[in-house]
Amino acid sequence: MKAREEILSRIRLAQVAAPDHAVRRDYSHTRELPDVLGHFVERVEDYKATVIRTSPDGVAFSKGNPTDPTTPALDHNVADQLADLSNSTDSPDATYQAMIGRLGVSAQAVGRRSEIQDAVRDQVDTSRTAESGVNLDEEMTNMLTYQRGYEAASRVLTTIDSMLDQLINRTGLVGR
Amino acid sequence: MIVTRTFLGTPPFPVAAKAALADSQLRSNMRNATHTIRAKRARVIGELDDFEQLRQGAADIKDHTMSNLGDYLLQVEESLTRAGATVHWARDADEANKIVVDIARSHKVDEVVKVKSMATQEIELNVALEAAGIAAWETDLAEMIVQLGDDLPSHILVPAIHRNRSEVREIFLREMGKVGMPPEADLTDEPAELAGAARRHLREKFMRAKVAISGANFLIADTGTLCVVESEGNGRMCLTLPEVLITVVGIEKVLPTFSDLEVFLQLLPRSATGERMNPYTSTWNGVTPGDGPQEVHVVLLDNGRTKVLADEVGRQALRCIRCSSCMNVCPVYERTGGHAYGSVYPGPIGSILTPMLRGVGIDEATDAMPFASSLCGACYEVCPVKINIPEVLVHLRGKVVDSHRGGVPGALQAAMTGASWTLGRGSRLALLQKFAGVAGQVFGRRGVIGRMPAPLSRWTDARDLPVPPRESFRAWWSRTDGGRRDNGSQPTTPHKGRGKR
Repeated sequence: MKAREEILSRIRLAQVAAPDHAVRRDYSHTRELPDVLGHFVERVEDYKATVIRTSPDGVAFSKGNPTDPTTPALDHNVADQLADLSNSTDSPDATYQAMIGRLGVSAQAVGRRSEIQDAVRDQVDTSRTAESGVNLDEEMTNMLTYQRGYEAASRVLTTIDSMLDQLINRTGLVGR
Repeated sequence: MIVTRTFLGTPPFPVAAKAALADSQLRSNMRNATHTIRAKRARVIGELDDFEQLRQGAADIKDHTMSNLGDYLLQVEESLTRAGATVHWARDADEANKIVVDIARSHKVDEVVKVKSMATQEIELNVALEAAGIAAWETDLAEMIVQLGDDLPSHILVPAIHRNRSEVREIFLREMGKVGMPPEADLTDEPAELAGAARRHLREKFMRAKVAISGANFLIADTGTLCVVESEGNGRMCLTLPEVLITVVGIEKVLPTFSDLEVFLQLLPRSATGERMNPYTSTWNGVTPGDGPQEVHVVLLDNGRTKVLADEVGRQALRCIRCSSCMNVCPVYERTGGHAYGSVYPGPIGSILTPMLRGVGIDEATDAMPFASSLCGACYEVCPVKINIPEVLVHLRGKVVDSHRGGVPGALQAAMTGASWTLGRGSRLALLQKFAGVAGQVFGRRGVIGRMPAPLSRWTDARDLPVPPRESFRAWWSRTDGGRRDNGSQPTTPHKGRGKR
């Protein structure tokens, strides 16, 4: 808490004879927005959004033309079709369900694969431990074998040495 | 690991500016960038018919806060603590860095993600984290370009303003793979593709990081709310995804009430990026159980701000909301770029803030900063919090000169003393003018004085000096009694035409 006290005291020292200021708030507190929709469109277009303008008349709810007396009465068939969209096989709802289903299946498959990989890894781990582990009895036996082998080899060398000695020094007499 | 460069040991402005001016690529990058943003700002500011009242209100709110800073800071501490945050106080950069490093260490992390923040730049937090073996990843696109390119920021809002997009592509291809997810090998320099590569690279870091470090644009006393204003959404990810959030904020960022934001959120985006509103404005209050960071730390940073507060002329610099509009209009900044200033705060605001935070008379580079201006006043015109930057610059120039008084006088000081002696008495000036008239006839050719030897060549290398008239106004007046006895016997200037050298 030392830093806190020191900063606060520095502020007190710095503010000696600093007058308090009245805050002038004569800026506009509301903004006039006569055309809210137009304003919104202008703003989103400013962020490079594509805005498609259509009037309420542009959205038909019936195939019938109300201005043409020959066509049948307005029966809301387009509106019905729009509503039926939610029950169709390629409706957003169905698409979403299918996507979730696919996601679930993929997740399951990936999960299973991960389990298999785990098992393989365990196996490899065991093999590695077996390979790197040290068995004292086994090492002792190996050492004895090598010891004997070394002794045998050295016996062979001694034999060859004596043989050569015999051949060179004790057979025949030339140049004396 | 990326080695963070700092501004330590950069040459003083006149030296650095000369090098920067010679770089024509930099000059054209800077001219394009500053002119674009200048025009955008002017357009959206023009839409506000109460801009003058807004900036007056903003200046008043800040001044009022500064005169009651101690009380508001205590209120901030109280309301933040009530909201579940831990408040730390830091007298200087080292203390703040130590607090942040200790928090990061206590969570045993070796990396943190960072939101762009001038306060952490100022205290060189990245260097401190690096020394503690913690990698700090900048997540702001421009800041990341600077970090990956082993470069220094040159603007407080768009730190990579000096880079163009093909340079950015090179940096991404070369460096991204070394520190995380590499970009695709066929990356082009299309802005959308570059942004995509950056997004993939950063997403991976956001998902992994346990600790985030941010700054704050505003710190609201009555509600204990911290506010970050940004355009890329990286800030919001940093503020919401990690488990621990550390915010380093200068004590001058305090605002008394939540409703004061109505002024600043109208001014800041328009002045900074020339947008009516910035895309992401995040506010948060301490800890919300089960949502967002579960441990929130706030470091209140002094680091020289109380020194600025003690300067009765300079204290207005504490109003600064780091919008950078003064840089975008500054004719000096536009030509030299930000690096020449040798400070994390470049441009006009940097020229006053840095010397006050660091103190004058300590190193040459800082002392040169108040002189890096033509005093044209464009910065004061655009400043959304009405900081009279030219006034503070002149005040600081005086302080720099004062700090060098005593000891052996330099050439400048000797010249100024001489000038004040000469100009202090009419008879002395008359003598000098007589002498100058004679000397001018000797040295001047074709009505101008051409190249002059060593110290004077710094003026005459680029400019011609007109020859002083043979007869001064003063002499003419006394000879002719103010034109009443003029017989025109003595020509005032030898008019032989101004030939080219």
